[in-house]
Amino acid sequence: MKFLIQVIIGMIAWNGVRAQTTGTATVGFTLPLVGIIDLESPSSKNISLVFSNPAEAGNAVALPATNSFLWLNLTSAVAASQTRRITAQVSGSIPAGISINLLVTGPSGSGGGGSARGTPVSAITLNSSAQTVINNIGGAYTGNGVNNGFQLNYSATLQNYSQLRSGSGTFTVVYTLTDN
Amino acid sequence: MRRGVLLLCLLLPVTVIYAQKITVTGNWSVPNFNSQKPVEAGSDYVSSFVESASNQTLLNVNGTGGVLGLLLTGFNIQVRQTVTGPALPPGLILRARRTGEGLGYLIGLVPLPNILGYYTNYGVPKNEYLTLTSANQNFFGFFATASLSLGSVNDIPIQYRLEGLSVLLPVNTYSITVTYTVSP
Repeated sequence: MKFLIQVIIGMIAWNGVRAQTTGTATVGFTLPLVGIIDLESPSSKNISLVFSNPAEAGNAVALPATNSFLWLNLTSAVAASQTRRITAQVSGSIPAGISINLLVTGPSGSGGGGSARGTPVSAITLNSSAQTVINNIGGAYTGNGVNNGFQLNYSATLQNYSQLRSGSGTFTVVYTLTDN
Repeated sequence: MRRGVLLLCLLLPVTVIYAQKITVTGNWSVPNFNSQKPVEAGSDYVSSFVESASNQTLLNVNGTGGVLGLLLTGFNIQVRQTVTGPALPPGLILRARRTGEGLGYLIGLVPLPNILGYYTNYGVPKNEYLTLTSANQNFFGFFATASLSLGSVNDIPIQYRLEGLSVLLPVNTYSITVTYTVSP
């Protein structure tokens, strides 16, 4: 009997020290903010809008065709509640009497993020002030190259005939990705 | 008296054999994602994963293991993850793998005192990643062909791999605690 009790005590002691032991390591990381945009074109990123002389006296100057060569690609990584926008503004001077209009369409092509790629606003008339052309951009990427992202459709109209002068003018359209 | 001595001889090793200890050294703080981040507008991360050093974490295991009556004894290592702070976004996973055997010994005591070395063909094979979850999973083990075993295996190298990197994931700081558990 005494022997049996000793065995039982021994088994209790055995189970008492059977606890598993653990150790830990920590893995920490911060996913970074990312914001990149560029313009893509099948050829040059410089475009020309050329007005044509009327063939008949008394007719208006012929407007240039809409230029849709340029595509805007973007990649954006933001915090969960953050959005961004893209603005466009003119650097330089648009020739007097002419309006340059921009209509952004898309997004299209490959890419990821769905609606987080952003939403174009209505057509704008470009000037020296920054105007939003794409809004509500979240974590997304549009795909790289032409036919991916947002297509930029430039058109020109005559605003004031009396200010028209012969010659050419050059200006730059600056696109900026900024936080909302 | 003789029975008492005999019992003591039996119980002493039994009391000792289940005292395992695991020591874990080496955290992984991913320094930046410079090699993975997008470099071209319109593109996602260049690489969707990042790996730590092959010996980012070192495990030291010592003690004894085994169950009387079995012929295969040793240590079993389990692993799980606990996310602290923001939840991991879907698609972002942490994996771990053992990249080496470590250094040490495992001595089989029964049926005969002998040194048999150890082998580790249990659980996830060396160099194969295991996707970590919040539940304990068998990772690997060290075993000797004996009924009782004791020993120490040090510097078992562990490598991590963070997968699913994308600009679609919310920018944030994330922290994961990886817990290793040793049992006989």
